[in-house]
Amino acid sequence: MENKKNILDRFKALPVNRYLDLIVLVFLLVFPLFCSNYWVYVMSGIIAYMIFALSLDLLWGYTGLMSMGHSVLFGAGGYMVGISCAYISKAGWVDFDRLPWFLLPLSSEIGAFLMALVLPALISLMIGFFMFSGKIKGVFFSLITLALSGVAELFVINQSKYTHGNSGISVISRTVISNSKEARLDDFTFYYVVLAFLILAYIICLMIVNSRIGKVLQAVRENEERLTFFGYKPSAFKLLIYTISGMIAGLAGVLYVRTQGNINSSAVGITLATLVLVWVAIGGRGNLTGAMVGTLVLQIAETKLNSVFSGISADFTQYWKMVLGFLILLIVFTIPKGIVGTIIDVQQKHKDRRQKEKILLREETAYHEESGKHIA
Amino acid sequence: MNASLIGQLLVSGMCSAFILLLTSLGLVIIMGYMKIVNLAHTEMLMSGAFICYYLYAVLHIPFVITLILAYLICFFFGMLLERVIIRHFYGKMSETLLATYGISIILKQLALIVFGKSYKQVEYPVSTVFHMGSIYIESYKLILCAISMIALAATLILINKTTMGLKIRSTTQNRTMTECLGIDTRKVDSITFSHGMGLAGLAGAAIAPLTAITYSLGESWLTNTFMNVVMGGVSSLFGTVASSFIIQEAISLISGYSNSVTAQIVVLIIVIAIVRFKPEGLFTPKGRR
Amino acid sequence: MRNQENILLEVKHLSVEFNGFQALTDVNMKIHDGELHVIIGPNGAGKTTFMDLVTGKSTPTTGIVLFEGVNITGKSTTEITRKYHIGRKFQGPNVFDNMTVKENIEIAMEGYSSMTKCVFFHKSAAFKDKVSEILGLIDLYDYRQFMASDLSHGQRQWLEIGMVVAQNPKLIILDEPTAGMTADETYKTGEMIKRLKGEHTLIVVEHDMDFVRQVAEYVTVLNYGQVLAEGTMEEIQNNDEVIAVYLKED
Repeated sequence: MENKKNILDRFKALPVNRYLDLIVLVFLLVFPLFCSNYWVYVMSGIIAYMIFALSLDLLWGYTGLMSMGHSVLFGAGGYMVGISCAYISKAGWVDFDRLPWFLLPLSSEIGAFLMALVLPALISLMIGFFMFSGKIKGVFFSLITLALSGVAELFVINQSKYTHGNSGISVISRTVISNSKEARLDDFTFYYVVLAFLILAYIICLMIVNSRIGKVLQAVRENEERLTFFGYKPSAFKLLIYTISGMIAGLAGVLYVRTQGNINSSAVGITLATLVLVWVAIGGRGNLTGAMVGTLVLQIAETKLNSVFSGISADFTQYWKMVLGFLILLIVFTIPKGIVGTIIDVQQKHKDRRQKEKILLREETAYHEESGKHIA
Repeated sequence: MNASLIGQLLVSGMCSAFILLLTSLGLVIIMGYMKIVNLAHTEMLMSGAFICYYLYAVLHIPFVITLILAYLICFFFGMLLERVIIRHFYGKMSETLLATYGISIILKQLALIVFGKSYKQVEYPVSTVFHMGSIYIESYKLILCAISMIALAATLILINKTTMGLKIRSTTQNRTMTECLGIDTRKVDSITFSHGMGLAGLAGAAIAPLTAITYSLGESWLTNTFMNVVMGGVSSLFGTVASSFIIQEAISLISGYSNSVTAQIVVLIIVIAIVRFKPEGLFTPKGRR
Repeated sequence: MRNQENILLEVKHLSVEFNGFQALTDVNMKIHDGELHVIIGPNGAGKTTFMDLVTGKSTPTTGIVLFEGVNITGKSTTEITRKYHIGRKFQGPNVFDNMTVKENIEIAMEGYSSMTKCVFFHKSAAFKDKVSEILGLIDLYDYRQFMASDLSHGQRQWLEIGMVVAQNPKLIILDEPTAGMTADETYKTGEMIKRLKGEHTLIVVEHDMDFVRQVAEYVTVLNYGQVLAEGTMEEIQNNDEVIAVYLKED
């Protein structure tokens, strides 16, 4: 009985965003039961994007490293699967018989999947090593990563021998690892596979941010210099989280490619890199929930409005992007912590106020008891 | 590997360096003196190019006056933006990045909606080609070098020789103290930001004849201008001059022998390597912060 | 109590210059194990510079810093903190704002700062007890779930003292711990520091003379980057030179 109460209390003590997580999870679980196949397909893409947003939140929200080129890692993962798929299934445009030595793992399906996780991690490890061991921080990190994604997009278009340039690569969709047509799942089942990956990524992120590592990362965000006086090496922690974040972004890239069935150069470009920043910024950074909610709400809104307005205007996206621009301005003006961030803030303030009242009350009773004793 | 080819590459690299200097000047000033990263900078280049198209190619206003008008229009637009938006976010890095990014998408999408995806073209104001031995160069590029130098000189004079410049520098050094001296730092901020935006407009108008004018013009300048700022640092305009030259000469030489994408990659690596050892930029004032 | 054997920190002929400004000139000082050493001096006397040098934040132009007889001049902040156990509280609260009070203390706890320790960390009972003990010492136990940014100014100062104590350093350096506090809070801080005295060696830099009288055993007076006087509180209070430059305002 007491144990039960304990669990209930612990459940009550959870911050408000964990309830939101639960709502999101329930929503995603029941979603396919009530909608068309098309929406199930769209939604699996959005879930892949949510994993991507989570990886950025680890880096930006928790560690304060605002990467403006996170799509490079997302795209690196996606392209590994893309190139492997094209090579194994001998797509029409492929005119190479052998892969270069560093892409050799792509000749097997599992190798490609592992490569898609390892390569982004390696990229971020290398770039991170250079940037963090020197004293590159703050806005310079953002600008270098921005330049990185600009250059990466050019690079992918340029290497058309392997990436098929602007046209991109078609990939066998709705499988995670296999490249054979027989292994394809239906939209419905694959949706739940992707969702399972989201839950896995979420749990990993949650474990990281609640561990001591996560606390140190937050301390890096708050005051990096102070942390060195406690004997920490902030650069090592930044490198670690950048690598982990890169790996998760790579996973997101793989899943996205597998839901959409193709990948092109925009997956590594500045547009996606800044779009994911917008999702996280609007949802609220530094609490995992905001990243997921932001992505979910904005992407559903875009798709839905697109289908509504497609009859009126042929090119709805241009207006939607403008709306996004105004939305960012609105958010940074009114609630700079983002939607979920603000909700958490309100709850925390409320809790603090209640606790303060309690302390005051206790001190007052103690004082009265003391004076009561004196009189007696 | 012949000398004349290398000479040709070096000279065209030099012209590109001046052009890069011109296009990054506004960005550097806003970042150096106000600690604000203006992500809308490259969209201002795009706006400047469109202004040039309408004034010069459509209304046939003389080119020099077009440039001045482009500066003024963007100057006042900058003033408006500063008053309405930027002013509220001083000292908040993520917020300014997001806000200026918001402005940049709005500008870009506005251009897309108004002008569509078609390309506009502006004729060279001067169409002759300049010869020097086996090296040739379009005269207009030489004019651009001159414009770039004039803009740099004017900015240096504004910052170092005028009272306004003194106020700008003192606001950067110590805002509270400057306010205590009775200087309206908000006005100083407003002027600094507007000047930076004006320079972006001027640069956009000046490069308009070189490129196809379209809504996505800004994107193509994004990487180079921001790499330039990162490498040059913001504490000295000479850092920007030097890094413009390093970046563009490297791009010019490498793309001469290989291709432009390899050049971009190599330059990015050079930038990261240099910034690794000089995180504050190429020329940093020594001493206690 | 003050003898040659138990010197913990010694600086010899320490001078430092920034852009022609002589911040410290030939400073010699000995801090003994277990003592509470107060450094006073007017603004610009070089107190903060002195602490920067000891904690490795800047390097001296000439002179050396010896900690337990080992030369630590020019070593990195991380190394000085980890290997030589010197903890420092900065002027003005310098805490991790958007984290809870408890998290702040936990981050600071001694011996868990390396990457491997962080990866294989689990909260032992001893760890929890120690955190609670420190929270009790700085009188913030009831506030442990608060965001550091929601505390009052004085409480934030205490939090930082707590963080430095959590490092369990041999030498604690406190830079103006009572800056911006009310009289009550200042007194409470004094009592806190007295309680620390038995277990740690402390260097305290202060302005507030009432506070200095409350806690001080041994005092060094700095003026224009030089040691003006050194001695027990009574000696200093009766030193004519010191009265002339410093105590007269009191």
